[in-house]
Amino acid sequence: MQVLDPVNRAVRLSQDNLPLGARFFVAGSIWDVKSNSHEILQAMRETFDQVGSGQQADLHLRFHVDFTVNNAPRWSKPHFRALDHLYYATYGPCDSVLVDQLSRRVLGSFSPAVAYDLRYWKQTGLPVLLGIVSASIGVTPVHCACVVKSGSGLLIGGESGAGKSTLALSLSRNGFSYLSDDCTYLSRTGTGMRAWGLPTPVKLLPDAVNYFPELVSLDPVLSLNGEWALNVDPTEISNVERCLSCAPQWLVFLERKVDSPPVIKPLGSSEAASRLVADLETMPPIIFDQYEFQLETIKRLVDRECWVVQHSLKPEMLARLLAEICGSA
Amino acid sequence: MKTAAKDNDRTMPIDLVSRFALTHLQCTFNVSGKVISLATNCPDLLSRIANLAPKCGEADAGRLDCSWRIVTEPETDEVLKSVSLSSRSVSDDGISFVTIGQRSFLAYDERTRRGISFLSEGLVRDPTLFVETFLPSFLSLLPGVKR
Repeated sequence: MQVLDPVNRAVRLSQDNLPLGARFFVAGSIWDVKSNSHEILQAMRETFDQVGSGQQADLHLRFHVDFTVNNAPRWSKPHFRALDHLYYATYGPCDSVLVDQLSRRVLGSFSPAVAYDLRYWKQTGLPVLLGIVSASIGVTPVHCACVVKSGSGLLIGGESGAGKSTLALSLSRNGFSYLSDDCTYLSRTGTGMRAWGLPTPVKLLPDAVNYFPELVSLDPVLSLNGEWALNVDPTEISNVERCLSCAPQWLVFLERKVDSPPVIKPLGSSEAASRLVADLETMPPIIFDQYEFQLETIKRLVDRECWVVQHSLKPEMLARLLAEICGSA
Repeated sequence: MKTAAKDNDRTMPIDLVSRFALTHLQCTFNVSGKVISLATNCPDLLSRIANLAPKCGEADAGRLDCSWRIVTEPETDEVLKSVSLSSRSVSDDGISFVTIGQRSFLAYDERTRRGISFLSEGLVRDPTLFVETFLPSFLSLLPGVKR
């Protein structure tokens, strides 16, 4: 066979076309980033802590912006596919990322329009990327909100719509700091564990204006999962402070129970683990050890006090109840 | 792959990125002097490759140059036309990918000598698209081709 002209446009990356670089501390890991875009690096600086070059990197990212391409709009929805250890994401005609989950490398090429969209990077691109690479860098994402008191974290689990986000904000007005509303990232430090959040907006269902009237002027936007939601900077809500890391201490799962008094009962560690593992992405054989590491992280997490709360309370009432429990536990 | 969180459905797999797509059809070909194992879900793809490259015997299977898994998927609303279908190739330090249109791509890792691809079915079904769009991209990612 003959090799025809392979592509319309080919980019081979090198130090010459990726002259900029920085390292970042991300959920307990070090990311080494090379790029030709000041804007992408700026978005990362506004999302993660920049660190010096002395520490060994856990993940190597190469982000190239092709300034020769037209600024075609992004797809209406990003598209994700994976097989074996290769994970591919595409956001637009000239905006794609390949993640090698085995050798911990990320290769991305973007149009100027996407590179310049700092808000998209901070609210969507970087959180999604952290989710994709998490297993490779020893991080375990759990489908939980998290709030913090005196450095100790309360993780709040529950299915979508259970009220995790509104409860996290209500707790943040009752003596806790806000860390995350939907996804919390766990890393292990020897025998210890840290929980991490990102400085992203809280995603609230539109009816949250019933509990936070100051949000009434906001318009819902369509989320990646197809839900309409209010994107809110939690620090713009009165009396809410943000915290980006904590030591997880308590774990509670919310369950809606209509027209009955609240029931709070201990939850066995195996049941708690089962609920968290249900939302964990299984890995193929070539990187299955990464999945096993995540399972062990969850096993260690549920070695803490775990409860299930069945309730029909408004967020403010439930927040006061949980604040009392955490205060006395 | 995620698993559903509902109590009564806890073990139901949800494979949001088609990570566990089956590629149960397998054949080994000699493509431009390279011995390639190709696994796919698409019999038409194997037929088209077989029309262009000789199949290898068992003796060649021990000297594989690379392995590929290629999954074809039904088209969505994307219009696949050869004249308008753009493709882009990016490579760095042993990993490469080629994007074709909105939903199709090929990716290759030199270290493990493994490649993957998801293709809209039209890229295989349409002989012109197959020869003018898929095939050049595929061949450009084979070992030994300078990227």
